[in-house]
Amino acid sequence: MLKQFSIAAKNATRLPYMMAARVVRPSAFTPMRFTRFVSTGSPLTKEDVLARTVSVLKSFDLKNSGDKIGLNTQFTKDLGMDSLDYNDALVALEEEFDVVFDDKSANEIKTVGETVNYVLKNYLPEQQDLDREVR
Amino acid sequence: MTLPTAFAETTRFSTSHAEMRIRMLNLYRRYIRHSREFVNNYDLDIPTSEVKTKIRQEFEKHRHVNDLAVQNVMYMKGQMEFQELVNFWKQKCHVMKYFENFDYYDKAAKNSFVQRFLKGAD
Repeated sequence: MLKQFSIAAKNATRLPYMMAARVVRPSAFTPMRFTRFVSTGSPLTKEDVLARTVSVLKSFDLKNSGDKIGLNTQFTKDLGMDSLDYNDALVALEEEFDVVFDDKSANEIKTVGETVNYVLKNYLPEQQDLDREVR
Repeated sequence: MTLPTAFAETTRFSTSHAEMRIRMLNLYRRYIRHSREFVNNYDLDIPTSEVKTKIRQEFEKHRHVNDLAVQNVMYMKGQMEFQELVNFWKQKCHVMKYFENFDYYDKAAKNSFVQRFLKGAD
């Protein structure tokens, strides 16, 4: 630490006057804005969710792993999953995003896009999170 | 504290294969969802992934059962098992029974009465 400081100090003294004068200062003082990220709602974007979903799905042993996974990819048709594989994938996504797919929608979901939408709709930001056991 | 009725479900006879299938998948999802809790509660020296695989194996065993009456009984027993597991009504040894090496019983050397008795084999 000390060494670094002394080097920095040396460099500072070596700065030519011209450069020091060219430093641009903001004309008015702008106060820092403290934003509460919690109250801004879900910080997840659709692309974000899709990217994470794809990375989770890639961790599975997929039949057609070479294909690109998009919003319209179907679990059973395109990824070659059977019903149990598909439920494994859903639970893996639940763990990734900390949401719970209710039984009705879990049985109805066919495509990756539908899971993404479900996650976006049901995702709770960190601070509003209840006790995990309760959820 | 355990609630006696937590995760309880009234036994119900499904009269169609489609409905049975959906109930079974729901049960499977519930099992997988709580697999990490099984590991934590029972203090298993097994990774969660292996528990998930075991759950899958137990379901796959009966994949080709087509009799609806049999399926209903299996669902009922599966649901009971789930309730007991998740409510911590079992002990570690009961859970570990699933992870026993099934070759163990077949070995002729270990097939004497006393050894089978100690093992708890029927």
